[in-house]
Amino acid sequence: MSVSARQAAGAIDLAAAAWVARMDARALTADERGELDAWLAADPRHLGALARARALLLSRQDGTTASIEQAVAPRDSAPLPSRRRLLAAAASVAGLAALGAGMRQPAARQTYSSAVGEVRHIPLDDGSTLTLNTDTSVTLAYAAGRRLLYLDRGEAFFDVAAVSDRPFVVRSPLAQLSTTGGACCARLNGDGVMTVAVLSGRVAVEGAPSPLAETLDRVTGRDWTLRLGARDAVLVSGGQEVSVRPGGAGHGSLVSFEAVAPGALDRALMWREGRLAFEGETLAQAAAQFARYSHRRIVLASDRLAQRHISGLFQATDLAGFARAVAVGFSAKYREEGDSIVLYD
Amino acid sequence: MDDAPVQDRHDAIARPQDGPQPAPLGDAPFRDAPFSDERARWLAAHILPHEHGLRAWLRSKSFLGFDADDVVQETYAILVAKACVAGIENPRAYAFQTAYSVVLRLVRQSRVVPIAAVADLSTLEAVVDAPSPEEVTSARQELRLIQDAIADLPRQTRRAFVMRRVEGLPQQEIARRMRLSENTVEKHITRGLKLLAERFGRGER
Repeated sequence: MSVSARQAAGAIDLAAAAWVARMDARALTADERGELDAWLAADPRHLGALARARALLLSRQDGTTASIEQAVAPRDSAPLPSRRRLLAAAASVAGLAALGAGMRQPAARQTYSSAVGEVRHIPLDDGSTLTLNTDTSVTLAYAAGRRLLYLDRGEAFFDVAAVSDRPFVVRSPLAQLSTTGGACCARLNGDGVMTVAVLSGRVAVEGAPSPLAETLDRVTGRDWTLRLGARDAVLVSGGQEVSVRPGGAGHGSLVSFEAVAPGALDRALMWREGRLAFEGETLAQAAAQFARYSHRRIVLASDRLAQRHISGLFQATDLAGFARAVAVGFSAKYREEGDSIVLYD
Repeated sequence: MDDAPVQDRHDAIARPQDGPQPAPLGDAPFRDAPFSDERARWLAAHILPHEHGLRAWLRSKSFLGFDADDVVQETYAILVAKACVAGIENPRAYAFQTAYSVVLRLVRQSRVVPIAAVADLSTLEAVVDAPSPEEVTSARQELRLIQDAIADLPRQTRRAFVMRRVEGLPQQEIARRMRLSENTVEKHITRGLKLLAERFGRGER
């Protein structure tokens, strides 16, 4: 933290305090309003400092003590929709009656998607965060008893807020993941294989629900599939990665543990910051990674180049920057051809 | 509003739970501010109590090369500019999430990012959980910090500030009671806010 930056923040606080005190004293003149607008437009931090100073002037022992209970205990002071969800949860154990209620109120669905080269962070109502990698689609179908999501396409990172009685369930055509809290990343590869990497917590991985269970599930709003820790579920812990592949007709899905080198998961998850990290991958593998983030392509014109190993950190959407780095590092040349960047000796 | 001596008021601030309940205030709304008073009150009630924790978390990541004060100011800017906050069930998590997005942007914008620093970004997300009981306690202590910071203000500034913030008197009336010009009272309020802004949350004593 540099000294000059600290002074800058202090100077902003002083200006913000002066504006708040002035507006607290009287209405601004037309000139002052113009001056305030110009000051606010000069730096986004100015608005924040102004809001903070105003909040400090408004915060009072009486009001803030009462409201802090609400601030830190959101579930106790849940607004109406959540209370309704709780009631629905209570009703669902009552059996048949809930079946009818579920039919009338299917869970609201919302689909989030990202374009090629785009990374999206989506905070969810329960405190979880959803991060979509390039060209990804996820559908939310949160219900009373569980937080259900569908990974329709691509790759997503789930940072799951811990709620022990409301499992977080991710379904894909191949597998179903369930957890009560933790962080994991799921990816549907082009070759029909799905990979699931768990950063923290424990995630149960099992085959996708049968079409019948899925239909019952949707129609009744009740869970016909979820069996946390059930016989065919594989429990995956932090630092582990599994692959799920179709097992052939009538054989469901096959789950296998993958060897994970230290640091490899963190490197693989650099996409959340829009970056690709390589450590010893071949240029051919790296070029395939870049292809996911752009409509343009890196073409390696020689086998010598394709087999070279590369380490480094790159912007996922900056193909030209990658080509430049390769050209410098491996004494190669590159040229642009339409939608391709061709690297050659 | 009764006419209790000002010194009693100060004692009430030092021991808030024993003091008289301040009367409801007839604050004039901020017509010229680019945000509503309602939003500022929301920030006061739901975000200020978590600022200390947010800053502690940001400080632990400061090797990434960003300034925590910048991030906090930008976080407030985003929260105050948001169209609607009614749907935010967990303001603390939301504030951390917002700060996280600011950090990501700042780190992305910086021209040189050490690879170790970038790798550590993956740990940034882990904090956005419901508060633990210890954090609830510290959020309460945080509110006491505002009171302590006010108690530490220079005498005249403190008098003016307490009359304004705790008793809810308009600046004009404060000027009359303190026999000062309105301009001077405004300067005391500015100074009080500035010192509060500096000390609160940043842990500068």
